[in-house]
Amino acid sequence: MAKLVKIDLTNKKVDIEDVSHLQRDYLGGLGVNTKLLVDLTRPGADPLGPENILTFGAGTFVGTLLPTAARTELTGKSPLSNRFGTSNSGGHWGAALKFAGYSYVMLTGKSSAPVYITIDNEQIKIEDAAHLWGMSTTDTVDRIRREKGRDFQVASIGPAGEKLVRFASVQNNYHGSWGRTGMGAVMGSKNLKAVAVRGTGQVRVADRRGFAGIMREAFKKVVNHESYGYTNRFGSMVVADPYNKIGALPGHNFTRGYFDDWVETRGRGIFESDYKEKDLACFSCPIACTHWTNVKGGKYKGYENKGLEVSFTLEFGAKLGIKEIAEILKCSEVCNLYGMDVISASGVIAFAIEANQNGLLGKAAPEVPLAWGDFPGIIRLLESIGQRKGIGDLLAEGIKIASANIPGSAKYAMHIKGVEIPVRDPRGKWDVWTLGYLTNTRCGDHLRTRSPADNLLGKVRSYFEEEISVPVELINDLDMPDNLKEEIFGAPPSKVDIPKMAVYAEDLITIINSTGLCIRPPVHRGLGPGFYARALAAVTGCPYTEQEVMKAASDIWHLQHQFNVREGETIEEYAFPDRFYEEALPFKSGSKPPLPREIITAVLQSYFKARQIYGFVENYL
Amino acid sequence: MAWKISLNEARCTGCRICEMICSWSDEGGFDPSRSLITVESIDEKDAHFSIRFDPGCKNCGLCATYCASKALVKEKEQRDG
Repeated sequence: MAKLVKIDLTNKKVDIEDVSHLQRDYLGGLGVNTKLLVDLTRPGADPLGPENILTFGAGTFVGTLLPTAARTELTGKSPLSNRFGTSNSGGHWGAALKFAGYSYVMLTGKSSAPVYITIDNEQIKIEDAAHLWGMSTTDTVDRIRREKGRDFQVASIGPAGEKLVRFASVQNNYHGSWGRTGMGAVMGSKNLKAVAVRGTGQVRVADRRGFAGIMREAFKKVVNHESYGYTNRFGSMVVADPYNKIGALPGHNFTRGYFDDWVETRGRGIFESDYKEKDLACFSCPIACTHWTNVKGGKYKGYENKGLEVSFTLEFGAKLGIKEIAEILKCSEVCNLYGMDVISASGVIAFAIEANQNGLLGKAAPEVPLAWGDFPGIIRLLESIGQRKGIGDLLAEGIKIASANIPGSAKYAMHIKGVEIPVRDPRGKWDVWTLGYLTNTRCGDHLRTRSPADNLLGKVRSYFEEEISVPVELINDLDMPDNLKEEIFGAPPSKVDIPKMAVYAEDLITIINSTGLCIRPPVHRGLGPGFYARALAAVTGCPYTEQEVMKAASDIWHLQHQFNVREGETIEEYAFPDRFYEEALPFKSGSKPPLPREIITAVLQSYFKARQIYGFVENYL
Repeated sequence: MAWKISLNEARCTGCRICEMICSWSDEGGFDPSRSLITVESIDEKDAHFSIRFDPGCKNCGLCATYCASKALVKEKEQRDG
């Protein structure tokens, strides 16, 4: 049985509901969260008002031993975009919820005073959080664990969430985040400081014998996948060097894609040799892509933190120009303590620096640095945003609102539909990933449209098709519906159809985020819809076919898209900032050309056709 | 059993896969709180771990079979003479 804990914070009421039928139709995690948000939030609801609902959904496989089965999706209407908001985190929180006997926690209404929730197996309490309000996220975890027990897993907001910073995160224990789209502000708007969970019960699968085979198969495929070794060794940092090599860094607010000294200062090699101490993993994960850093020399010798993630490096290292890895980690640490999304925080600061360099802030904002890489200035500004002090109060609204309040600054405002654009410049590399910046339903983001046949080093910029990057045998081996394989790669495989692959990639990641596995390459590329159908059947006891799983994923995407259209989304919003269409991107001694607006529009038309959204195309294109 | 399980706690990533596979019951349940191996964080920030075997451990070796980080490794027992 899949149980939903419904907590009405206005009336301090707790109910338990069986939502197995929803999980059957919407796979779990992200899918069920989506259905609840669409059905239960009225159109036009204020994302920071009591009518927004916020749902934690642990994936259907979480609590079983499938590799990486640890992920929990957190979903609500986003205060940053006013559209569909959601983020995903691993760690141990979701497993604890499952072992407590529950799969989902839905929060409605608004408490009149700060509270936090404890779920201690069957005991669910709404408790006074006056003593926690104002605390950093790490102090919050420490305090709750001291009072309740070391074995509580804690999802909490920091001062940024309390002060409704529109890109506030919810932190997952000390180092993890539900980062993007401002779910921490939604939690803060409900006067909810934390949800702490302890579970010591059992999670059972429906078909033990069937599951045993699937578990062995999944471990074998993940641990033996060709991407396993480098994902374990470098984690996400594996792409730090190639992004620079192809000139796709988001350097200095997307004005340079390449740095001469990148590899020596911020590359994966120096991270491994001078910073990394050991590997760390989320619950049930054999990949262990994350690391513990203990700086081995220099002025930061002995500084310890979790990381380095490549998003920290690309955001604080490239976008803001900080060259020292320990300083990059300290920026992410400030974001974690205040509870702010690293990407949006870095993006809004990059916007402010460029606006300041162009004389748009005058003397009214002395906190904003003038120079890229000004580490002390960037730290001070991060803190001002987290506290909503000075210009930080305006920047806490996100780039879209901030730029609307700074005349002449729109050209430096690098967002899509209100969400700050992350990590990679589409002029440096156009592919499924960068088309996804426009098509994914949580707006300017990079994690929901990733091809399982990525081709990072492809040389020719082609808008509709890209070269195949992997051996044909690997494509033949991909667990993917045969008809889609032929449509996307051709028969025999000869290219990748970018718009069609974007649709498939989004649906595959929807399945992953609903079942609770991770999108790291060994899982993303090693397992597919056929596997997920068999695993869902073994875990839940409900029969699934590959086609049913694909259809459910498509249904979930369409619900999210319809939610966005319902909330006012128009086709004009499916656009990059003008900079990408009008300015070339400097690269070594030359440059990469801007994106042709009319061709990007045509690619989008192909995407919508593949999505079978004819009405939207007719209405808006 | 013809093997022993060697321990290298510094390599432990904290994934708890050993606890999960140890607790995998005949009825199809996972219940790490009943596992005969226990991983505990030994620092304030969940970065370093201790590993402890319960006296009831049957030395079946499944925990080491599934341990990807090589914190637990199945080794052939050395016998004297």
